[in-house]
Amino acid sequence: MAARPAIAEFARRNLFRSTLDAVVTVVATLVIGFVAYRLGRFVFVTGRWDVVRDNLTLFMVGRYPTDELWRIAVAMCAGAIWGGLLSGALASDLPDPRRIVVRIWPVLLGVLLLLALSTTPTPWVVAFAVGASFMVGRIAGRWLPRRATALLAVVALVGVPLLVWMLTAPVGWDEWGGIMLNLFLAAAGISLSFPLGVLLALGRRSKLPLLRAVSVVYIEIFRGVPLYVLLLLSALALGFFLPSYVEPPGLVTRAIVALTLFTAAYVAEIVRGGLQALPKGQTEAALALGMSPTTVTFRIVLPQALRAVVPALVGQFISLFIDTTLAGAAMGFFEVLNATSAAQAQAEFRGQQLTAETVSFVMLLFWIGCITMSRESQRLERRLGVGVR
Amino acid sequence: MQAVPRGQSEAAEALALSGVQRTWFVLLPQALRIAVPPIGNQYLNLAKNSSLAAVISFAEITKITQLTVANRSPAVPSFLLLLGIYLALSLALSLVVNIVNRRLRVVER
Repeated sequence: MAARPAIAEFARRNLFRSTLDAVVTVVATLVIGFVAYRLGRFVFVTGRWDVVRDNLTLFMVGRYPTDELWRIAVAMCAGAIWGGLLSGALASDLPDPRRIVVRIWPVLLGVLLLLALSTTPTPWVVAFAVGASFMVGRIAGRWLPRRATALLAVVALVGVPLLVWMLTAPVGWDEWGGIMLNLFLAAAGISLSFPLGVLLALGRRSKLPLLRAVSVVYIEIFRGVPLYVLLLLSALALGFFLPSYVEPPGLVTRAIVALTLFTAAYVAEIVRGGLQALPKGQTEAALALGMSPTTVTFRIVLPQALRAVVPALVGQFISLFIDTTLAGAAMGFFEVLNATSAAQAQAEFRGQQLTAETVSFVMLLFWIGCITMSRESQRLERRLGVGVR
Repeated sequence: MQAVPRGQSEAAEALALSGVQRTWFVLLPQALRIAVPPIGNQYLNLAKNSSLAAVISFAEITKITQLTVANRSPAVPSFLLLLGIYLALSLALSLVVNIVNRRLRVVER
């Protein structure tokens, strides 16, 4: 008897072991094949991708003035240098390029897709400049001591407001748009809601009754209402809560406030979970060593509690990033989803039902952002040793 | 299901239960009990996310509030009322989840 080919043996063992297995295999193959066929046909044959190609700038940066776009490129290069310095300070040896590709392949895929769609040489120049900035920072960072990360954190605290100031010099952030606005909203929401959420979590476990009551009421109210209604309320009614001599803030500022207040309540509950999971002996031992309660909280309790909840926190921040489109739907500013409606309303694309093309492009952009955050959080989790120790 | 102790699965195997029986009678009943709080949270989210139907112009309560506000109904009381309704819904649901959780919780010996 001739030896069976490996594929037939594999199929017999894993796909057709019993009648039920055979039925499942056949049905699943038919369904997957049909979906793949329709998807492939849409992507390569019927999809009208010219609407995306012609509006690439609109999707990326909205209506940011064309003459001022260099500011965005400069900001990206500055961020890349900073990121390079940080990764250089943390790991001195240059890693194998193949491992970098495996690590950030979704981002590379997105960048390559954007470059393939672009019709002018400028995006290539910008992409090259950002890559080169990162490499310069990475190589220079090798001479930084590991302790320089504290210095880099201070640089970021000073540098980010400076960059935002530079970007808002031509037009305020209420005039921003595209995926840039979504990223800005998410970054602002994350950096503001995290400290607020930690404070609320500590407040909920505080021994002071008033502080505890305020934290509990805040958390339960904001966890009990839908984000969309909160966004509508702040869009339409925030002016009523402010004294009349204060100029009401713009829509983007209102969105940041609403997203921050909402996410902080969820962050607080996540952090509280981490605080509860920490053995009581840690606090008792630290107090027995004569540390002050503040030192115990910030040096002993919080570092361990936060390390345990990194995955849940990143999950919350991913949904914050996704919810920035909801802010656009509620408030109507020009973030990327509203940019797709604007693109479909243009004279050459009007009434041609191009929703599938534009929205699936936006979905891909968000998928790249979210899968990268999630993969980096898993990496961080492994490095911090969550679940091992 | 990963939180169910391995011994449960091994004991079921030792009693010669089939794979389906092991999953259906031993693992799932315990796993679902452990999963009551997160499942409850997810249902709460679902209830609140029903407000998103307003984005595609479905005439649920959020959309109706938007329309009444557009028709010069005062914005602040209308939206505070809407928030109150959702809050009541959420608190009622979380009460149910808590009761179910108390009933079904795995009692540690």
